[in-house]
Amino acid sequence: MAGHHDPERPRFAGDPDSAGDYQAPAPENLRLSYLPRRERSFDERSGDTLGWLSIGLGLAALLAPRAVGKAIGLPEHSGLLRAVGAREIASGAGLLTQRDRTPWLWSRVIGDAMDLALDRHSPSPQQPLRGRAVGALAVVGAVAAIDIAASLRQSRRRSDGGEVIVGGHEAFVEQALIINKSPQECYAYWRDLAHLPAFIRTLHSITIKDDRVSRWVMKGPGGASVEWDSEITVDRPGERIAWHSLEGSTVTHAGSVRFEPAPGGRGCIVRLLMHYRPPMGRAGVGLAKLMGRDPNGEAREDLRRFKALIETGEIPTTRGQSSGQRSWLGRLTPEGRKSRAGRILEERAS
Amino acid sequence: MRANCWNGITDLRIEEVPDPRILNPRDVVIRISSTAICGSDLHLYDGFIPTMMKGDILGP
Repeated sequence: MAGHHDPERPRFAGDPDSAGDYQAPAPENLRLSYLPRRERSFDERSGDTLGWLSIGLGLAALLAPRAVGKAIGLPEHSGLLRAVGAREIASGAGLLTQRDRTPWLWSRVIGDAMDLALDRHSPSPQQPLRGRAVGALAVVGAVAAIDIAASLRQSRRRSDGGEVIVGGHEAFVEQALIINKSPQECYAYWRDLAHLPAFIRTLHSITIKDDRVSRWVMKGPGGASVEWDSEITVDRPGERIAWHSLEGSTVTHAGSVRFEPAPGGRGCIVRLLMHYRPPMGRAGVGLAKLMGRDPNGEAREDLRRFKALIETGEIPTTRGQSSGQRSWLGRLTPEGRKSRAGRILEERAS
Repeated sequence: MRANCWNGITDLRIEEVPDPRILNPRDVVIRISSTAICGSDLHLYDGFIPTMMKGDILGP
């Protein structure tokens, strides 16, 4: 309420009663959304370029096949060019929208090979158009070379587990949630690493080796399982915990969790930052199999379960509760199996 | 007990289901006199929630 001066009331920017009192939060406390977005790597940007190139060429071939045909020495093949255009648009759309870009880059390579084959068989006998056909051949050849290079780069990075990897095989996770416990209580709960598997769904178990090192076993929805040793690097009670996987681990993983007092002294804001890189070698498991397709969503659910666990002592669920008759397909899923109550009744009846 | 069960899109039936049991120390079992669905259940009723399974109990 304007004009009502209450020293206990939490302040915010633009508050008419606190003009001059408001202090911007220190840089390390700024919300993650204020930080600049992660810069897209060369591979990601070149993938984008190839995607837009595909869409551009595809639209041209689809909408003006005769003009395109004249330009490349295939004036009579409108239908064929339309088909090629549609294929190019599909490649481009896949490249721009899908997280895993590798198959789409290779689809461009296959498309280029098809184009080369078509160009070679262009039947036009006239000289000017023949020259154009040769020119088109050269251009398609060059584009094919670029596509092959991009695909190889992409595939090689997937097996190396190198730096930033196009195609969603590296996961950056940033999530925050407000919890109705003090930062000290949240810190204490998190620091006892044995609690983590209770709310981090993909984490199967943690074995504590010593004060700083622990062994993490992760099991993903795809049935894949990965283990690594993790070391706590920063341990500030009531404020921050940071950890990373040890050198030579199959998965490069680093994370940090920050516990900040919430405004008005009511609770704690927990900010979770995690970063995964996939295992080395072609035999390694894909990150998508481990994390599912949405690492940020998984982390958000993990934080919600942490909130439920630390505030109430249990994680609410409908599993184990009663249900009506399941379909035969439903009976195959974990949720569909007879509820505990049903099993108890069956045991009593028999 | 009888319960309001989802059996498919726009297919709700009152069925005989196992009685609920106390699963956690803080659970409560409540006897209700009547049941229905509310506006928010219409999304489940009309089939917009893909994780619905035949046999799920709606309401309390």
